[in-house]
Amino acid sequence: MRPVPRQSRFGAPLVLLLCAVVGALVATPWSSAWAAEDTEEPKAMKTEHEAAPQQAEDTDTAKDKSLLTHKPADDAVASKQADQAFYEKWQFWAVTGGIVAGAALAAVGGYFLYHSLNGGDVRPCNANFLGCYGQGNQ
Amino acid sequence: MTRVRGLLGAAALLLLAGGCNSYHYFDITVDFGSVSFEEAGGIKRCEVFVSGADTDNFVLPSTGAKRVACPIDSNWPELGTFEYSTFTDSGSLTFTMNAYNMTPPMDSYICVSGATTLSASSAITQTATITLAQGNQTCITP
Repeated sequence: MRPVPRQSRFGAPLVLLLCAVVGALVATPWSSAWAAEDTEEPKAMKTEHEAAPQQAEDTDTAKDKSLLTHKPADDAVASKQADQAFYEKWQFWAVTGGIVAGAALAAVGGYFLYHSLNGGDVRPCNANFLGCYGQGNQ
Repeated sequence: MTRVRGLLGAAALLLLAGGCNSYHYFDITVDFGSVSFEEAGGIKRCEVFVSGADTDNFVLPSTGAKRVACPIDSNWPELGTFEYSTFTDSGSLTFTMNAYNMTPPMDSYICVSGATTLSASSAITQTATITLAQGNQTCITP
């Protein structure tokens, strides 16, 4: 014998009550369902051609011409640079350093060249010799 | 620019005027020849004279040197080899060695001597031998 499923006494009235509550929520204008609805019209999308000229174009032209003229502070700096002594300029020290370094290199190179042209160093003395004498030796 | 070139040229001429020297070496070996060990043992001092295309003189090492020549140590019948360097590349060079039986060195104290002559050339190294011979007097002194 098949078992008969057990039926609840409150099944149908409960379903009807839930449907009524949901319907009231959706149909009422001040309900939360109505508030979630977006009624705003979408804004028109700007194309690249419409946006670019506004970014590239600089309409902020200087109307005050005095901003472009030399200020007293600029003149003071310029005159101070002009009034610098020659030894206070970096160009002077750069040229002086170059001359000194070149002279030192020329002196050292000249010495070695002269030494080389004059025979250079005498060869080392053989350890088996009694001694080495003459030019380049003591 | 012209001045700089002139200075560089003058410097080059100055350097070239100094000449290009190169060393020439003469390795001279001294041999006692017929000089006996007893005579060689009486030598007190050895001096070498260079003459000819170059002029020089020097004393072979005695006491205190790494290799002692005169008085002799164990270097007999061959005294040893010395090297002489010079810029001379032409003419003749004569090496004369005198051995003295007393100091200071004087001609009257020469007991053994010898000489050799070489022609200086472009050769870097030349070798020769001085063969010593007994002089008029003995090297053995009381």
